[in-house]
Amino acid sequence: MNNKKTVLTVNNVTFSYDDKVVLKDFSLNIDTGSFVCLTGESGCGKSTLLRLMNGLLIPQQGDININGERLTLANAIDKRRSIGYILQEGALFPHLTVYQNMIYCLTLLNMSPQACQQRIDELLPLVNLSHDLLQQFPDQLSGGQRQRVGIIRGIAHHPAIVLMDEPFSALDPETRESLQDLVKSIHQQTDTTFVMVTHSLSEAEKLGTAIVNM
Amino acid sequence: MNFIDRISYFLTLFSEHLLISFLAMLIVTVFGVAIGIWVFYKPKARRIIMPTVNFLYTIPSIAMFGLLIPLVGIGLQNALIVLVLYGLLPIVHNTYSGMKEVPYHLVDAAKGLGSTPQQLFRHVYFPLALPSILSGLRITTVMVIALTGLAALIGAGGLGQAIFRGLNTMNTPLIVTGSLGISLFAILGDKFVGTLEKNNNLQRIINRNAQPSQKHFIYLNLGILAALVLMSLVYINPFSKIKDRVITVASKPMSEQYILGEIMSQLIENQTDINVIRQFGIGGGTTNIHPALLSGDLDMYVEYTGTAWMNVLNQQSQLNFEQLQQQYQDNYQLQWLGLLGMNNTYAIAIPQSIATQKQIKTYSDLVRHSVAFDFGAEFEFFERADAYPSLIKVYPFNFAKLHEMDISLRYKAIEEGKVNAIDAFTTDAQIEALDLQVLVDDKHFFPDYEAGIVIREAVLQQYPELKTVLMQLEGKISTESMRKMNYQLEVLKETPKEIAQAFLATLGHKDE
Repeated sequence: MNNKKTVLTVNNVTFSYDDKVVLKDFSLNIDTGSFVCLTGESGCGKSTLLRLMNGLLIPQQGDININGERLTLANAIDKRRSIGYILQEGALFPHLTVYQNMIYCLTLLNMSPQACQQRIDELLPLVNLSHDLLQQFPDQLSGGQRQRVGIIRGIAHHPAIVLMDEPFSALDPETRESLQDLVKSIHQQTDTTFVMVTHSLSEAEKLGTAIVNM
Repeated sequence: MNFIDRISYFLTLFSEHLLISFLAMLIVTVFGVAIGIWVFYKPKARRIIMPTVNFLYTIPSIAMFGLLIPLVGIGLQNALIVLVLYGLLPIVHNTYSGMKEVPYHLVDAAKGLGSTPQQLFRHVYFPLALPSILSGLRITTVMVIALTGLAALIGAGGLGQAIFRGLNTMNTPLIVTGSLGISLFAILGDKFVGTLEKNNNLQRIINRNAQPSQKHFIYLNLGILAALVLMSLVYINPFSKIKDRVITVASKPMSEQYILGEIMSQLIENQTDINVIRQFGIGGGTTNIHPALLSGDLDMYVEYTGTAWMNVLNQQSQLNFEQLQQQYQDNYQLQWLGLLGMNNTYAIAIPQSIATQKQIKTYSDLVRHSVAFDFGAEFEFFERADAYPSLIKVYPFNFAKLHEMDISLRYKAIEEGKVNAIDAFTTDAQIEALDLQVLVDDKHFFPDYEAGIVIREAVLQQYPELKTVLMQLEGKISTESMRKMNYQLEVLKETPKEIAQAFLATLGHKDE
């Protein structure tokens, strides 16, 4: 690896749910622009680690730093706005249109309607979605289309880091393959750092620049 | 009642019903949703609030109206409180469970994307809980509209008034029309909330992703509701009631009380410039009217001396009328304005034909012929120590047979010849209808229930002219003429208004 800057560090983190220790004294450095895949058995703490990285969980011991700044309960919401979040099947809001889902993070940042429109116009060709779908609702889309919307929602606000929690696990092999290619090309075209939780080692090998087996 | 009168009577009741339920729904929706949201975020509050809301729901609504009378009196305020407390349950529960059941992965997504707690509520929790809230609202709407029917019992008005008036004066068309009106109203209310629920119409409008047709449909429905509310407001104009010169006349829920209330009201309207508010058919009678007089919610009504001694002053024996006046004045600052002349007490009645044939006029006459009579009365009459058991000590009746029956069946029984003597109230319309003879209580066994006008002293001070006006009725309504007027109401189906007009005409007070 080149002398890349570290964007996210996990320092000696210990986390437990009630009495069950999930992570113990865990450390990890993630470089800017890398694609880190977290793999391992279910229950090994990979999803917990992801949720620690955007402050949805706060470690009992140790700390998480983003761009050198420690993640705390107080600054978690702020930090999350520079982090993208892509979940299984997209986890789209069923009561919002496709377009409203896509610009969700932009509205949180109070971006103007024109700027939102412009950004979505930019992104649509990237994920191969047609304009016609924008006014539809998530339940009118296929699983693959939903996840493409989820990807746009996760990256529209130019996040420095994108966290993905098993984003392709519920898709059929063909769709999964094309979406993997899509994410890979997005990663290559931008300088965004990706951290993905997956239970598939082949997926990790295909996409990851680094694989952390937990 | 002529057609125009009838239409305007029901329009008034409908307007009142609409306004009461609309106001109650507005309050209950705001409070219910707010409480539901509050308990979702505060588990500690939830442990107290949810059982409380459940408990409120289990109190029978009639009891709740009554329980509130000492606190807030009768009328609109009381009705609104009961409707709101009662309607809370479905909304609070559905708001809470709607929020609780928002899928976790969506909350996780919204949080993970950087929503603040307020944004999370606004963008995710509330819109996704909305269908559940609306289905709670639907239940509450139907419940509140139906329950508003009972508000008439405490003088708040509404379509229930027609039902109770019908029940109290044996007027079936009134009962049917009132009931159908409430049912129709409840169905429309349910449909209205249903339009908000259908196709997620309201959810879409809130999230700004509704089709134009959805928007137009909802705005049209809201517009119709707003127009109806506005029209009702204009029609009954509740603000006009807050006049300087106004008096509230009350009546108990029985035929003759509607008539007497109407006679007093028309007399005041005809001869003074005081405006009359009619609060007729107050449920519970004296139990609820007397406290309302003390609190100033009501100003006057017709009471009976026996009831006043026994139920108001709690005295078993009756003293004379002057002492009754004195005690009312000293204890309650209420005045008895003379007695009307009628005495509505227990009596024994037999068919007129037998009475003439056997020359029976008094109870003592009946004792001599009692072996030839089958006597019918309600269970209570035979049971109460101060009724039949004491009666036969004073008048040693030796009836051929005693028939215990439900109170409503006595007249039927004597009509069909199953009995030929019954207990009755002296002013009952059926005495007239069935041509019965009320016998004279020659040893004065039954206490007197003489009717007289009870009025607040403060009102008499404010409107001194009232005394002279109302005193014109003193001694002018005999038991027989009251019975005739009850007959006109219950059997001939004339309205209290018409009967009162005719009566006042004979007194020489025609409408101006």
